[in-house]
Amino acid sequence: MGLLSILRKLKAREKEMRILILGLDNAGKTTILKCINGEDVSEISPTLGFNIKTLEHNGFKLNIWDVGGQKSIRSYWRNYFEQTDGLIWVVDSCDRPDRMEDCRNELAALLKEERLAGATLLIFANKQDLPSARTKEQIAEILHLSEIQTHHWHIESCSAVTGAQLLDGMNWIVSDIADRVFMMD
Amino acid sequence: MDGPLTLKLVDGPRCDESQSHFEESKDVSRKIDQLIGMVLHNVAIETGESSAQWNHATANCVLLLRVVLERYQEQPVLLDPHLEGMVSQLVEPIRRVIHSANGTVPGACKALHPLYSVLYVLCKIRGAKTIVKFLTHDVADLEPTLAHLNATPPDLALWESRYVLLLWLSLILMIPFDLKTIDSGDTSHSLVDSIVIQGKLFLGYAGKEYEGSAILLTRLLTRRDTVETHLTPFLEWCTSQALEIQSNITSNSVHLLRGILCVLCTIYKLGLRASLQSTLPQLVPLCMTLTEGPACNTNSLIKKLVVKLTQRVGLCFLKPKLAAWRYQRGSRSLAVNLANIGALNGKEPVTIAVKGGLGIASNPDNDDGDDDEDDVPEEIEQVIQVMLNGLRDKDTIVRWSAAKGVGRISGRLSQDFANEIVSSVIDLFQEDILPPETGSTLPNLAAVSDSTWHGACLAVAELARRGLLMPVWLEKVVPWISLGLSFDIKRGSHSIGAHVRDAANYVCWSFFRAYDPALLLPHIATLSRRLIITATLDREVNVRRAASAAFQEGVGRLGGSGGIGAIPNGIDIVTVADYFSVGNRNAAVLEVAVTLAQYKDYRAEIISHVAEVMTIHWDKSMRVLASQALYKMTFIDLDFVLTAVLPGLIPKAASFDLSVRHGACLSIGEICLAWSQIRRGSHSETEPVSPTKDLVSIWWTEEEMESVITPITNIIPTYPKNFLETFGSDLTRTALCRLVECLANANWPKGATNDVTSHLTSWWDVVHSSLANRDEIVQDGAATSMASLARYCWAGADDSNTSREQLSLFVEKVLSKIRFANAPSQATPGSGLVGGTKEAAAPRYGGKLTQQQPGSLLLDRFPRRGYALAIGKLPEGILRIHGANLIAGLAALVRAVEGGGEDAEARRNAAASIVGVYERLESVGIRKVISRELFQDSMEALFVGMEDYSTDSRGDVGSWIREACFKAWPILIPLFAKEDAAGSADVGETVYMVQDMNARAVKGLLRQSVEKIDRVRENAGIALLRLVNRALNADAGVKVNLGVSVVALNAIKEAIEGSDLNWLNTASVYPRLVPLLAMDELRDELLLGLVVSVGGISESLVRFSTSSFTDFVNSLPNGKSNGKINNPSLKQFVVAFMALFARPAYVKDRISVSLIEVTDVLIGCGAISKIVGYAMEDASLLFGCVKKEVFKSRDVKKLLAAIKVFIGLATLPGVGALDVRRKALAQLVVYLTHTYPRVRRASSEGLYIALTTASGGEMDEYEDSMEAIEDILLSTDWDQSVASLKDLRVQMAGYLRVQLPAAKV
Repeated sequence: MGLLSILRKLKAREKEMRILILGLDNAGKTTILKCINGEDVSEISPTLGFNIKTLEHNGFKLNIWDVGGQKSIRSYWRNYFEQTDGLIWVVDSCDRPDRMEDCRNELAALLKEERLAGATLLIFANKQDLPSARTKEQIAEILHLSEIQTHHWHIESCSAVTGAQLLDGMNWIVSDIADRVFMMD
Repeated sequence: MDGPLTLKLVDGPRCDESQSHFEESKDVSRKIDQLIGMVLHNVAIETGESSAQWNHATANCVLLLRVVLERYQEQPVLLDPHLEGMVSQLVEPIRRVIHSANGTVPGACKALHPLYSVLYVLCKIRGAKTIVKFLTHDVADLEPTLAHLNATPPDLALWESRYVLLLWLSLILMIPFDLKTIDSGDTSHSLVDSIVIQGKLFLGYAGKEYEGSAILLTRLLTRRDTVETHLTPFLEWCTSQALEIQSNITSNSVHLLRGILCVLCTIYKLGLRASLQSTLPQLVPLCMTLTEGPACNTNSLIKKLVVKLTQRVGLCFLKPKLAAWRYQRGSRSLAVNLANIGALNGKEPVTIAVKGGLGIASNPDNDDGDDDEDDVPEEIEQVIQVMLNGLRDKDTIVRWSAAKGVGRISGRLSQDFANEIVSSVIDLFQEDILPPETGSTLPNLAAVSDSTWHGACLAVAELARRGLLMPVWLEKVVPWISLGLSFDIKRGSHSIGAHVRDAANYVCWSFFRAYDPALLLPHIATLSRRLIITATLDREVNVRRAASAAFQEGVGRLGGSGGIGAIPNGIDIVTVADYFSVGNRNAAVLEVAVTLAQYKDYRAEIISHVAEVMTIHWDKSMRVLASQALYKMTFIDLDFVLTAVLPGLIPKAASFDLSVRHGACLSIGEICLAWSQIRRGSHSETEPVSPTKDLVSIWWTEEEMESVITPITNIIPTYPKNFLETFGSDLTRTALCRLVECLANANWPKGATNDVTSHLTSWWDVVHSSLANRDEIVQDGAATSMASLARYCWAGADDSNTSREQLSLFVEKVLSKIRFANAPSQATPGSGLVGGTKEAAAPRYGGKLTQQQPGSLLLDRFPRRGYALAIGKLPEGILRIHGANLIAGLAALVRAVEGGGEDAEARRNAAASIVGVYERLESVGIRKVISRELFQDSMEALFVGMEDYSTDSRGDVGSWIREACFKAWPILIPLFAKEDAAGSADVGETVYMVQDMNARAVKGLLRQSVEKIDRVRENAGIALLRLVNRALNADAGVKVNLGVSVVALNAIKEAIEGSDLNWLNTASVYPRLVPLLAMDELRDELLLGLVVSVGGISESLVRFSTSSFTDFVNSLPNGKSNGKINNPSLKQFVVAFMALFARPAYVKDRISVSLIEVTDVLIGCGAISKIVGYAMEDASLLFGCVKKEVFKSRDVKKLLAAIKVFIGLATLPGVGALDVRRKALAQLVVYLTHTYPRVRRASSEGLYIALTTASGGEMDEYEDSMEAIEDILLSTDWDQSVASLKDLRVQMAGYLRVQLPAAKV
């Protein structure tokens, strides 16, 4: 038995999962992370880099990776010790139409990455507190979510500022990963 | 077991496609049903020994299921939703059989086996513990299942049945009723007793049954209704058996010992502590005895089980609890946080209290900590000692088990006690540490045990994971872990430690995850630097990746971007040195590490590590990499390299240690080269030095001259001679040659020493003597080095007389080395060389060649090869003056055959050097240096080389020469076209490269591209395509006329262009190239090449070349040519083929057998019988060709091939062929008395076949005598002496009415 198979067993026993938060800049990724981490969300400047936070939820240990604002995020998809179990794709629901296009293309490109195959995908339609926000149905259509075959996915509207419905989304992604990765016993 | 192996788990192809579903579930279910059907059928037959077909079918079915299911071995959880279905599907039919009368019929038991096999596969993939839960656990199952197990034959192959049944019974035994109430009392023993008896038996099995039995016995004996009565006797049995086996261990009894240890481990894991405590006093001595005993020393599995058992026993002494004192980093709950945010919505942010904070002993609720302290029994000390010793064990599995034990036991102890354990673990790092070496502050690890360090790392990681390594310890542990990151201890010619480095990375990674960032801050600078170095400069890919992951985790937790944060530039580095980029060792060192050295915070450490550790690495390729990295890094920080790196390297250059001096010499060279380039105005390694500064500027300072330059100049003059002669001299020489090359290219100060020439003399000595080395790699390095040194000494130098004189002496020396001591013998037939051309060349340039020189022929070979190689690299300055002589020498060498033997390497090198010289002369002007006559002679030499088919014990060594020669054409032909175009501007100049020569080159390439050796074919094909493309591309510059029609060129291009053509695949090459036979101007050479392939010996080659060949022949129009220019008639083709028989001996001898075999192919595909109707004479000519070819031949292979042809000709149909048939039969009759019995036999069989298989009545004329003929052919012993066969031959001739030649052997 090698080190990595032991790690895999440990991960299962300790119910750990690794989740990446991704999305275009200014989508609110860091705000969401800070919000679920219980930190002050009133002042957030563009994220320069990357943060790992560990949180507990429903008996699971979530290692949440926020790699906002970087040109190359390929470096974070995989490392020697662990693989990515879940992806949270954050969308600014009020963004300009051309940015929504970018958003769709980026997401489509991301899902093609084979290192992420099988990872559960949660889309947060963020900034619902703003009046011009699109509904999650509209965003689902713009992003062509119905065409995604390769991943379990779910879209949830939310507001990182108010914290609304963040919990619903997190509940979904955790239980989907749990169903997939851990045997309930 | 260790680190490096584990990589496969992540990197296997399966893993990448993380499967989110069990795609094959329906298929699997269907297949299982099918299997059940077959199995039940077998059971019904009851014999179980039913038809082999059924058994075969079930075995296939099981195999298929296994293959499908094993795909999920890496991610077994994906099967989870389907497990229950699959297991019950399999178990139901088994249950039905068990409950029926068949359940105890051995044959039926055997028939059920396939179903158990599939269940076992599931156990293997998902773990027995999970699978067992899905089995049925009905009280009514107990006795029938037991009976069924007893009835299963003890056949070794049925182990899966027994294993699964034992597991199943262990589940059924968990029924909550008293076993006495369900004991039907059928047997003499009680139910419990009989299970125990049975279980003990299985414990001794060599197969997996012992594991199942261990679980079964544990479940049985830890039941409330049995524990009182049965457990103690059983444990006593175990102890006495174990001790008995221990005292007299055999290869059989060791299995029982393993089983006993296994069952004890399970009992002490699953049993109730209360009921086991009384038994502990007897177990501890057992463990101690076993630990000391012989079984542990020889068998690592036993050792692991003993350590595990000791751990379990130890745990049993202690109350299970979570250490209250343990370290817990504050962990926030997502839901709580969100609830707070929700509550505070709209209000000003409030800092939410964080549970744990910095987390030192977070739980003040410490009341149960102390009162246990007194309860710790003395035995625990012994148990811990076993664990700590286990960490040192030589086997990884033992260390893992011990590390887990250390963690588990510490968790149940008081903080003081646990601290003692932690302290002992850390002490392990200090074992056998020697005092620091002089000049180093780091501990000397030369004598420590890698196993101990690995074990200690594992234990530290385990303790940290459980929160038992309190933050105060970090200060003590981190320095050791940091050393562990570069742990590498030399053992002979290699080193060990990759597993330690892997584990140390794991420790770092888990530290970052386990501790609050604030606690790690004091250590992060050390750790992050060490991690970066490991991630980029380690030799092993898994270690680099582990370090990269640990660093990533550190940045993610502690932060760091730009110059700020705990880890400066952390994020940039994470992006540069990620999982993917550190995957390739060369890229990790030369790209990633060099990039990271740009960051000031890490630069000094990275460069120092390369210079101090990598340059003396045991692996040669690492040292070479280190030197290349230092070259690049010098551009980043010259001052640092000059002051901190170079002075340290110089004394190592002549180190006694081979690795050290190799690495140091290489590195000094690279650094000096970079240094000079920087000072001469180059800012990066890619920017060339400006030519104006190349030779004039003095790029060093006076100070440097004294401190660095002089010592470096003197390295070679003072080099210990024995390093250049004894073991390892090849590596030393390679390094020194590289050093000379770099220094020469750096325009090293010439007058650095008192005597201007002394260091140069010794530099030349090294280069000259290395060129004469027998190792090709050394020669290669020396050749490059000589070119640089020659340029350094003479190129562009003043035209002073001394300098010119020296140069002439040098060239004369070089030329003398490539000459032969004795005049080369004349090429003899079969040597593979053209005699004629060589004779023609000898008078012209042979003057020098024939000079007699002393020396042994064999010893001369190596210098000849080396110097021939070096000439091709000499700088143009020298070639301008001496080019003609050198080309003449090379051309003579390409053709030379040395005293009957050959020196293939020398000829190969010479051919390649001709190309090199011409390429380099381009800038000078070839026509100015080389006369037309000499030029053509050198080209002729290349053509001769293209015909080189010499062989020796290594096989077709001529192929090297052919390759070297034909690779010349795509380079030389365009080059000469340009030269000629430039030259023809001068009136009256004749062109050098005539079209005729070009055409020969093209055709020669075409021939090589259908020949038999894959590599040659590929290279020839690639060269041909380059040449053809160049000729067809009008825009590429000067027009190249290949002397071949554009139609033909286009046909070639069409045939061989395209990425779908794989030259190594004969099925792909021949169908595309053979149709080119239709082109008149290409046919002859192509045919020549094809004949070799069709008559070859390797199966795929012959198959595809032959089928393409016959397809082509069959497609040719019969009769008169149909007018199309590019389609010859069959007759023309056969005539062209026959012309090959008339080729000169040096060509034909090589292909003689092939030619005859191809003749047979032509007859076989019906081509000859097609033309015989109107061109009978051609068939006769063909007969004549073959007959002449085997005339007086003593080559059996050739004779046998010819007999096949004669059989073919003797059976040609039609009236027109009568004459040929007669001749062929006559020849066969003649062979009936051939000197070789094998030929006689083959001939008699041939005659028989010819006479009996002809279908069209051709043999009707012999009908009367057929019986007599057959009688002679079949009943004669053709192995008897020739004299006694003569009469039979005369008889045969009479029957067949053929004339025998008058005079016969």
